[in-house]
Amino acid sequence: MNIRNMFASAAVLGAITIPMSAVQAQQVPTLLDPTLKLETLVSTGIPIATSMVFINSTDYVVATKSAGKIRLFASGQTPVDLTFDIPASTWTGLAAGNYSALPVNSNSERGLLCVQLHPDFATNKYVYTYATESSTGAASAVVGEVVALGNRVDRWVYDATSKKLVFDMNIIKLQALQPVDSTGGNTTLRGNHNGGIIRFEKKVTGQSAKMFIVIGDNGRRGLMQNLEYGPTTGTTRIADVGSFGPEPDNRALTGVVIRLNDDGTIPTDNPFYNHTLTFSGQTDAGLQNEAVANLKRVYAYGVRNSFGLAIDPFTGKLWESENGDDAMDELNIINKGHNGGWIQFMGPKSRIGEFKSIELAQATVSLGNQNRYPVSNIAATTAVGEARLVNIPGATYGDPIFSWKYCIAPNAIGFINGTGLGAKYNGNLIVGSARGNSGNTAGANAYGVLYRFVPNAARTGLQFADRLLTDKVADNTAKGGLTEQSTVLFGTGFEIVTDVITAPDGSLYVLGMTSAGNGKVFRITTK
Amino acid sequence: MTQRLLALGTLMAIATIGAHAQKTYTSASSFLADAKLSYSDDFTSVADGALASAYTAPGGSGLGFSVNATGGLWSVGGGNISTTNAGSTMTVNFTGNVNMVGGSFWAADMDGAATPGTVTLTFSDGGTYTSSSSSFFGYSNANAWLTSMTLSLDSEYIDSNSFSTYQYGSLDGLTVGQAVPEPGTYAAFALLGTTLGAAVIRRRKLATK
Repeated sequence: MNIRNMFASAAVLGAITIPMSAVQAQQVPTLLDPTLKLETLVSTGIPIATSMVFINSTDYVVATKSAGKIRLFASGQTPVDLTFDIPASTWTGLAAGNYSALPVNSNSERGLLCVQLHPDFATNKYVYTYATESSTGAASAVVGEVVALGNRVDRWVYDATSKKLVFDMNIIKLQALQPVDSTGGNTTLRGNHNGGIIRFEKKVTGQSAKMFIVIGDNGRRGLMQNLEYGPTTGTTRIADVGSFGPEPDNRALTGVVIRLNDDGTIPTDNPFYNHTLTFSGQTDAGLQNEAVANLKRVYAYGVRNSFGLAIDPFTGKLWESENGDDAMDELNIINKGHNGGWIQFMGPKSRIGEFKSIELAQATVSLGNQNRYPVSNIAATTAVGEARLVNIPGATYGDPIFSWKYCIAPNAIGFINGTGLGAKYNGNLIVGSARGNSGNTAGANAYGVLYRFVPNAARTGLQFADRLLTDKVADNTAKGGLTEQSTVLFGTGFEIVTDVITAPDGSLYVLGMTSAGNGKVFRITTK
Repeated sequence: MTQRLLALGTLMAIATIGAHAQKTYTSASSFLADAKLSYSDDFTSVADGALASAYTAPGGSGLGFSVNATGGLWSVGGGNISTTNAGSTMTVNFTGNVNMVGGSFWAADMDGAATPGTVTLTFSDGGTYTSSSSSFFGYSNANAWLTSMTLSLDSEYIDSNSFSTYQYGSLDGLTVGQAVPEPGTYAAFALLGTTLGAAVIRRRKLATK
């Protein structure tokens, strides 16, 4: 078994089949600080809730993964689903019309994954979504019923009167269909590693707002995965499955954080905007041109898969959670030009031996479900791994600021902005997970916890109440294990946490779901 | 009768010492000047990182101490003792006849740098002292042996911007000592000697009758 991510349980639901043996007993969400109060505001009507955002001081919307809906929770009113006003030739299989849901492909980790607002939403009413486009014109959970470049970010205009989102423009279309080859490298269609989080930078007056978008590796094995020559340890260039890559053409622009202006154009201060790489190894001029253009969009690469982005409200820096395969989940600060190291490293590069040994113990061949670059290819030493990194001019490899030795599946992350929960919580990072079993039982799913991390004074890393964590690794002993984590636990029993945000009133909202897929909205305040 | 006289003399001595019983120092040299015996440990032999167990000082002059804390001890920055967990209370148990304790006691951040937070020292005789710096502090009690000391603090220091810093009780240059008797003590001893002498003379006189 190789289940390892936030949708591990929910994905089963998305695929309709629910093996009851896999459904854990429902957990009781509990906060460990007795001075804080936890309320459950919503527990029905938002199945497999993935994302939420406040549209004013009191009202918020919640996106649902498989249903493809965005539900508005307005103060004092009955919740209502927003509709989508979509013109012709915009969404595969859809005629122009006003639809009650986006027809998404929700297989595995696909679906309607994020809803965000433009920083100037109050005036321009721009709403952004990250969704996986079904190829049938109807919602589908079938892995193959997806548009190839089906992970799309779109901009909508919110019509508050008619409670609808009017399509404005597509921002970008990213890889969704993971091709199959016949040579044994990738024989099974998969729907994982889509990332799917959008976050806007702190806006600079007079400049276009800029957004970060994360997409996981989507099963690709190329430059963005630190494989210069494709899925090989050799130095002879080979294209990846489907004859795309290894350069970041449209089908290989994966495992990256993209940074775009609010209209999808490329900011000129992106780290590789002025790159001079020509990717001459690619003989297809069209793919070559795509790769040259796409690299300008990249803010960071070497990202395995992420369900969590957050902007530090005090520094403006981008923070990220990242799922390992079986070993070394990560928290990262994504600086401009960050190379996260995947596939050469997960976790601190100095601990590559543990990364490799755990992956070998869990699966002798597959690394991230992709057999064509097997576990045995992980470098034996840090130095060899470093030598294999793809060093695009302007890039810098960055070790994680924190790792979990065995995966706990970190997902949503969010900062507490203000003193609404008490002074000591101001600026803290809250991280949700999809694993976390106090019994330290390997393989347990949907026992997610909330972590509280306190940034250091410079907010360039973390400080810890337990100095055993100063090595920046929670040395647990099995997947889901909570060894060494007692001082960073904030709450337990939250099952799967998908979003964490500070509300306008200073309280903390946590969006989550049970292992049965029931979305819930929690509110945390002081007693 | 002799016993009663001895008891009286002892009571007088304690009463005299009691008038100057507890004393604090901010100068290490003044502290040492008052010590008849002393033993100091600057922890240079302690390596950075987690300590395997409670720290027991080698000791000297018949004096010594051991240090422990819930969650264990830690050293960072070379040659000091701190706690592994923020906010953990550190306990120092003294060995030998100790009535002077001095050293540096402070709240440190994860990397060992002093925070603006305060630490509270509580001695086994009930004396307490609150410190917000790593400057030398000394304490003595001329009429009671000190058996232990605790160093406690809040786990987090909250600054004026409402940002939190984890803090760990830390100590360095820990010195334990035995005080040189103060002048009042000499006076008491003199009084005791005079009384005893008179008693002996009286006994001799009685014996010759």
